[in-house]
Amino acid sequence: MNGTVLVAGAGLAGSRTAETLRARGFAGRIVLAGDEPHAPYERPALSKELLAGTRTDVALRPAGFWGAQDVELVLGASVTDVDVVRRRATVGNRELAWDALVLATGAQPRRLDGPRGIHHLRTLADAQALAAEAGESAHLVVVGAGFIGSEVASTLLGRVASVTIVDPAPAPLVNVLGPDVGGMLAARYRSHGADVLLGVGVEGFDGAERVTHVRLSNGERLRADLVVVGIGALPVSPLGGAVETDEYGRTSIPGVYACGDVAAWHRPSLGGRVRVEHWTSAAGQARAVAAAIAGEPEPFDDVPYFWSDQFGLRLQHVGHAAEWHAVVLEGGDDAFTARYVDREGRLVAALAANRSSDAARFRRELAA
Amino acid sequence: MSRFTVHIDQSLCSGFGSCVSEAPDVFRLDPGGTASLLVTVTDDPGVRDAADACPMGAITVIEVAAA
Repeated sequence: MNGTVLVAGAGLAGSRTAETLRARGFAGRIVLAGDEPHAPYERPALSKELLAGTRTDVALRPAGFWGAQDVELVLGASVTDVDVVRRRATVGNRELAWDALVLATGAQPRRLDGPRGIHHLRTLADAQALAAEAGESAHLVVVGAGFIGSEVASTLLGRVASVTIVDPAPAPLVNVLGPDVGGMLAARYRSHGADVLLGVGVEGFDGAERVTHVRLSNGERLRADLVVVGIGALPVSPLGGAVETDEYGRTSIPGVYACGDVAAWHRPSLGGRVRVEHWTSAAGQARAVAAAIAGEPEPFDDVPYFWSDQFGLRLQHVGHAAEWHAVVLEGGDDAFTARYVDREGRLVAALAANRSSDAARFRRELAA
Repeated sequence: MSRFTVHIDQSLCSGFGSCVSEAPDVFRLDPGGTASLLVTVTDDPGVRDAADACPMGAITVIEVAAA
């Protein structure tokens, strides 16, 4: 097709869609609209190098790239009032006619709000605000031992006065890694100097202008003047929450596609739609959406993959398994693998820690 | 025959390893968990597949016209 493609969301998924359209020779108009004031950037770096201060530039592509690709980048502009019949939408404050609409609006953090000093981490602005408050006298409490929480704790350990991680689950990342491997991570966090309180939730925050304590569900109060809340994210889109697609990125509405954190993407290999918040899925989905728009649909049915750099471990996880029969561990504290197998001993998911070659091998095994 | 110069943007590499699968004579995974180049100039056409396969977009391949 020619015509106008409106991409709502200028993160990885949206920007990769725009980029791939041009790479495929699409000659129509591409409008890439994002509600943040920054050009597309790497979100995973926010809890790692950006927060650590070892990188300041996290742009996905060099300045001038989008203009050179003839992609109209509209920043600080939300896409609203989507009319799928007339194929119009409001971008910022202008009405735009579109021929194809890509919903790549991502997710927003679930929030626990209270006095100043409580941070959520999703955007570059969030990360910069957190970095500014993470001084050597800060007593940091991290609510949630997921990716955000564990990476923030890892990055700020040694820079702030104390780090305490709180999670109601029995182990960090327990839904993905299970209690044994999650427990290994908790032990590692503790040996690095973080306090880890598991099986306890957060009831609220004390403090008038600024937070002074975190109130726990067991009645305890933790001293805290800096709090980072990482308790998950919820998809957002101009059509509501998550957007369901087939394995080509097409929604049930002609001309409307979705990719990235917002998309509940159909995966034939898993037998259903799964919404995955990982980089490689967003990137692959974006490429598939571009192919679909170009009239050459290619299914994207990936083996979900995520990585996390924390506490001296490069964790790489492949697969998507709601349950497993056994976990086979191999290696030592500083480099190990965990294979999650079903009753027949077949691999359903795997974790590699400082074992990149094994991660690649597991990925090939799961894809076969 | 074409020759290619290859570059890895290390700030994007997450050690996914698909590059090694596509062009094992050009890419390797280091113990630190990221990819590195065995050669920076090659005539292995697999490097283009490697660049496409990299989910991070970390690989740049520039084709240099053969004399």
